[in-house]
Amino acid sequence: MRELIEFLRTEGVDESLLKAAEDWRTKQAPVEESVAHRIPVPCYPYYGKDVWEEAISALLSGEHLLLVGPKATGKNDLAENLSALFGRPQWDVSFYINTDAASLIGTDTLSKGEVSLRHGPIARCALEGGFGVLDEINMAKNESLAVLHATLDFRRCIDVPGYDRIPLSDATRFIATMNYGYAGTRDLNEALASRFLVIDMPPITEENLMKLLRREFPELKEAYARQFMSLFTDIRKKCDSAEISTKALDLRGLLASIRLMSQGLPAIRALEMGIVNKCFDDFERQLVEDVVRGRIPENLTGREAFGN
Amino acid sequence: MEIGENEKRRARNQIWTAAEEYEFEPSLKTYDAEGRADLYWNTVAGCVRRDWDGALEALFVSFELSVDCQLYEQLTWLGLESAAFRREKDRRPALPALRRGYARRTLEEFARFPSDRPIHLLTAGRCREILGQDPELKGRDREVLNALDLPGDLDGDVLAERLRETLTAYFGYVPQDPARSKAADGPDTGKKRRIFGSQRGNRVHLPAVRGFGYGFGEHSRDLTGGSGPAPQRRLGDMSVTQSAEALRVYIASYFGTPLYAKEQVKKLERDLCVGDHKNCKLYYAQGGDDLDKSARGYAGAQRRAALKQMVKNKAAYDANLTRNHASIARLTARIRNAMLAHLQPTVVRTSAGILDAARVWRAAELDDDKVFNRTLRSDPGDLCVDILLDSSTSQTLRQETVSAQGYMIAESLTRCGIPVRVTAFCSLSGYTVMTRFRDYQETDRNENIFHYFTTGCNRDGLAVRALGRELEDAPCEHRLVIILSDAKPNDVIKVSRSGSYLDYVDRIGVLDTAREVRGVTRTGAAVICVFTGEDEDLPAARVIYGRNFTRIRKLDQFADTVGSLIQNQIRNL
Repeated sequence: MRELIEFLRTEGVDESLLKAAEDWRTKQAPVEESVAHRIPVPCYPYYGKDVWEEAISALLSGEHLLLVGPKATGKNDLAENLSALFGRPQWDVSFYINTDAASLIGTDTLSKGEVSLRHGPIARCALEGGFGVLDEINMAKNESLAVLHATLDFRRCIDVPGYDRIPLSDATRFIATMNYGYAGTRDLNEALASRFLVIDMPPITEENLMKLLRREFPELKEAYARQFMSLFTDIRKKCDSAEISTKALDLRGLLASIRLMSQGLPAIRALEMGIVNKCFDDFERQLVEDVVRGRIPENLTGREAFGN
Repeated sequence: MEIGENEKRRARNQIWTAAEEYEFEPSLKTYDAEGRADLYWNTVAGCVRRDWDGALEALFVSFELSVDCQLYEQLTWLGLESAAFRREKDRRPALPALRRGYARRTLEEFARFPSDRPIHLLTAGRCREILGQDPELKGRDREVLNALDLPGDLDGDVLAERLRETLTAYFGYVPQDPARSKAADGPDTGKKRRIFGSQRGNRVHLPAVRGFGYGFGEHSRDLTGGSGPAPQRRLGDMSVTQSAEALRVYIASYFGTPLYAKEQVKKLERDLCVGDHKNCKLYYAQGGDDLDKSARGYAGAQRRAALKQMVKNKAAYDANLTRNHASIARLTARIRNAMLAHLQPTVVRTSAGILDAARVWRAAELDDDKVFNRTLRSDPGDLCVDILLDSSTSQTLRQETVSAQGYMIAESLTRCGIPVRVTAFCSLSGYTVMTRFRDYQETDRNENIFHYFTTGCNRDGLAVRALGRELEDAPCEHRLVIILSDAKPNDVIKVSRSGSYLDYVDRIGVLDTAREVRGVTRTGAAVICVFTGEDEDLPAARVIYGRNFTRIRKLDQFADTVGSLIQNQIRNL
């Protein structure tokens, strides 16, 4: 937490917002020990001062967030970082076609020979004052999500016929993510969208990507960090101009490749595993391979990239 | 040398990557001796474009029609390569290794096919230098090579001037006036040419793909003299001054039996031909192969040509019958699998869910907690598909392919029980013509798609609006519209805006189509474009369809692409 606040200070996030977030934490009911392990420790910090300020302001105001953006814009990283900053346990709910009210709110089960309600992730968020990350919310059927309307608006409760009425804890917030980046995905219906404040997630800037690489891999040579940053930019431009799909635009894949290099794997092979081979179309793979070969020397070993 | 489409596209991508922009058609694309895109040279070409393009354009244009055009170009690129490499090598650590690889390959070719042509001698000399060897050139050849070894920090104008000076001093190049180059030939220039082994050829137009070092270069700048402006689309074959009724008869003769009664079409026109489509007309054709024997003159001739095309479409399909049947089977299996995986409701026994009273005893007696049922809600309602095919002249060269692919899609969907409607659209003489090959329930009319033929322009906005109206009657909860288009609306009926009339092309047409697509999307239907256009039309496709378009390089991929889109749609129901 301290570390995260320090990070946000160095990123230039408004001091008064950071102070307000800290105050908010102290005013909330303490997190139960049984769910304390759910308070995330972010794998990667999210870079982007403006987005941070918008998100913190929204959550402090009691609003829920919808993070909208194409692939590799850090939607889930930001959600995890926010849970950590506000010190709340996090429940991840991946939405898919079969997501229904029961899988969100809860369902009947047997307990000690009696039928009882087993709480789903949304109900547990409500009870424990948690942060619910509704991942790819637009993948579920809108009809299934109608059950969340009362949860997400001013009523702040879960009220499904046949279930108990569960009021939301003051600390409970929901952060939904949504990707509109590929043909065939649907829009969220208006009723649901109106219950969120929406942040249009920008692609990570070159400067921030460089910072991320330097932070994650302090021993990576500056020149190569710059090349990997440019490689990612090149692939993004290719996606933006519809020359390739977004399969190769994979920041996690890039970071994993660099991690493989730190283990000593040659750069080209590591990038093949992390990026190039994610394209299953031969021609597309060739285009991405050209981008990699145009940037990264063929004989670059992992050790050379890391300078030891 | 025939360069494959994929290699052309790859070369273009290599240049775009290095140039860091995508909105231009490279003036030079390079390939190795095997016709494969040359990563090193295309990277150099991209860097040159990014850093010096504007300053060098005049220099390249001045070579035009010169008898030594090819020599000048290659010498210029030899110089530019050295400058671009020096400028870029620190920014791209891969470049030195790529350059050495290029040098090694070139020297191998030089050893296999020795040559005394100056460009080959100089290239070989440069390649030896790259590999740290002696260039094995003497006298003036060595001087030329040194003169073409340029630093990377030059300003574009200075760089162009240095190249110009070298060409003038050693190769008799006369700047700015290629016509006078021949007349100005004195004994000196002749001697220079002999020293360097240059042969003066005939003044001929060079082919677009020509030798470049030991590989090939494809030039798209109009230095070849062969490529004129793109052919204009035919904007209508009858004068708009003819009477409205005569025009309607003409359109009916051309496109065949109408689909709807006159009154119905009039009502549709009243509703749809408003706003930017004021003064437009609609014609709905049945898409049959009937011929009005009384049709004479131009309309009759055109209809007969269309009928011939229909026969050609079917013959082309039949010529590859086995392969096409296999494609239909494959596509059917893909769609059916997606449906099986996503459309079947399943009841599973679980330890949580809806209590199954008949099984409660198992909990008490057998300690089996799976006494609950859970239905996986995967019955998403039904889906119907509308396919809208651009049948303007931009698709003229691929009529057989469009019809075959359209047929295969319709046949596959029919076999899967998904209602599909296939319509072609084009516009002629102010009429936007919607040809309906088959409707949702007409499962036996798939072969009508072979009646596809192309003519006229395309008023995409009105076609989408007209289809949107018909979607209101779709029998299914979920509707998917797939539009085959080049995102290049173009029609003769102008758009009236505050007293002035604007052409329905470019921005006006694109924005109008985008508006209409949004209108259909708002009704809950999904609209996806299968884009067949050129790179220059990509921004327009983005404006019209947002991210909901997918590009195909060849129309052979149409059915497969549509298969994937339908799979996605089924997954997302």
